[in-house]
Amino acid sequence: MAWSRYIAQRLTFFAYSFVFLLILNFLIPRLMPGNPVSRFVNPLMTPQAQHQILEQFGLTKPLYVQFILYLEGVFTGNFGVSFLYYPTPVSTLIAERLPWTLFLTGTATVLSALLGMFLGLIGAWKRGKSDSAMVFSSLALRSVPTFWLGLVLLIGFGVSLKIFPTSGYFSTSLLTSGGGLGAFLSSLLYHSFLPIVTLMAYLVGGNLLIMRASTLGTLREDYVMMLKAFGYDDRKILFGHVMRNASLPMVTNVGIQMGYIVSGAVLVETVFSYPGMGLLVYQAVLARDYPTLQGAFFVLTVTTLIALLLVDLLYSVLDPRVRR
Amino acid sequence: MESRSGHLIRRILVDPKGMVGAGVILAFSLLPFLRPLITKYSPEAVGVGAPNQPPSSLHPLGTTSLGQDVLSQFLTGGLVPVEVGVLTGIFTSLLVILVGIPAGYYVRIGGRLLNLVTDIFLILPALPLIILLGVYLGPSLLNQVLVLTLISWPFPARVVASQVVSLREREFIKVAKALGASDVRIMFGEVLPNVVNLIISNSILVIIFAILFQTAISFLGLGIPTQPGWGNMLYYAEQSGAIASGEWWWVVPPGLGILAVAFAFSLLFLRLEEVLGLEVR
Repeated sequence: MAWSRYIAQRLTFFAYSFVFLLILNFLIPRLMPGNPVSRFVNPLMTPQAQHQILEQFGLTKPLYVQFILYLEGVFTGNFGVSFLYYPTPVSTLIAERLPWTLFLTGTATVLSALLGMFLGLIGAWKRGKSDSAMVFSSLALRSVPTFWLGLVLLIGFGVSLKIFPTSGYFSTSLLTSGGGLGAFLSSLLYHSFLPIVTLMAYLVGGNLLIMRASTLGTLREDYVMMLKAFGYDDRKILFGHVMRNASLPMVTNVGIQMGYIVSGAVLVETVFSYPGMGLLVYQAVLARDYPTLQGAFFVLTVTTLIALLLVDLLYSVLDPRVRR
Repeated sequence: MESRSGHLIRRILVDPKGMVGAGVILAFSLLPFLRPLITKYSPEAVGVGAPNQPPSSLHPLGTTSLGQDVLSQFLTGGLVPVEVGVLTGIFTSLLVILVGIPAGYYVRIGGRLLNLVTDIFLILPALPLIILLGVYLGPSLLNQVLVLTLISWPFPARVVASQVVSLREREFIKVAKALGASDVRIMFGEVLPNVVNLIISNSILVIIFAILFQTAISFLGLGIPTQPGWGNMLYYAEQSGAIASGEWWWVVPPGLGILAVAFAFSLLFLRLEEVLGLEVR
């Protein structure tokens, strides 16, 4: 398949997905059982106050007008005003929180891909005891509830041993003392260490299993046999030839994981009080802050779509069959 | 059919993986009913001990901030996640039959549309959608199952659809078509029996997924407040500051329970793949 055709095909798919998301996000609050109004309005309010709130949400207008206003809001980045942080606009909250979630999920994704790749490659090459131990622990890691692992690490390393901080994303004391970029970065890494490890625990297992299976397949190829017969160094065969060819399914797997990574981030940020999108969602759930939930869902899904598109592009660059 | 399924169960259980998997799941499903034999405290009873106590001979897993017995809560806490998981597995399998088979069977616009919808649902991030729907729907067991089903079906549907695509080219389907069998008849009479193993093994993966997500959304405060479950235990532990004060005895057991049940289903999945001959390795 030609590269441009591949890209066009993927772009079309993401366009469909985006339109679907737009409609879904509009319909969810309006199709739910009972009157959508009852979710927004407290019955103890005066009729005027009730009407004012409904008007603020545009819920008094006919449905098609509501949809047009909704689209206008989405494309101008207007998701309404947060109930919890009234009167801060939802878009402001999201803009503050999103970068931290991207940092957390991005780091965890890349590190777990590299680690899973390395371990899977070694396991498939060596086979034997250490390999089956790795497969077994990967399966076990995938049965561990992410948020609980976070809670246990928090109690162990944060509360009991006091090695790591228990909340936040950098020391607020830096704001007054102004320690410079280096101090900020090291504080950020220090605060993000446990959340990233927690997120990685689940991801590494899956990556390891995929990489191991694909390496086993690659090792059976004739060219590997030939390189061996020519007396090439094992390490050179493994990292010079096998790794590159066995990595393609890994890229696909990272794409499949994307939705999970977002889910994991919501849980991990909640556990570690890490002020990203996940914690925002959690606080919005507890406060029943509907506009914030709606906006956060939309932005998180669009971010996932963009990340998936990037993975597709990466795949097309790595796989010559697509690039041709 | 009776003897066939009996045979299947026996073959699953002869292997240690199948035996341990089934045993752990059975144990956690029975423990809520055997609880009175193990501890005299009911899981809901408040103030049966002093609050926030570490494990002792009276309360082997300590007490909660309301002076509830943690052991009692742990023993009963597996029922809800397993119940929600298994129901989600069943609901999802039905949806997979209704969407996955036609998606693979029809080549034209209808099939392509079903595939497109499957692919779109596949990439929506699960937890944000579950949370959004959960908040609007409100807490109930059925709502949890429905929301989890909505999130779980795309992956197995896609697996089944691609299997159906290759079945479509096989002789017996062509013969059935030539004999004038209707599409519905072919899909459910000829295709379904050939993908039923795949649907069963995938339903186990769905159960694992649903158990992990059921406890996660309960932990986020979208659980059923009145029902004892491991996710709810962790929610109340977090809300009452058990993490900050390091009350590990309240936090560790429910998670180990989830881990044990999810891993037991993974073992069962591995064995089922062997028995049904679905292994790729």
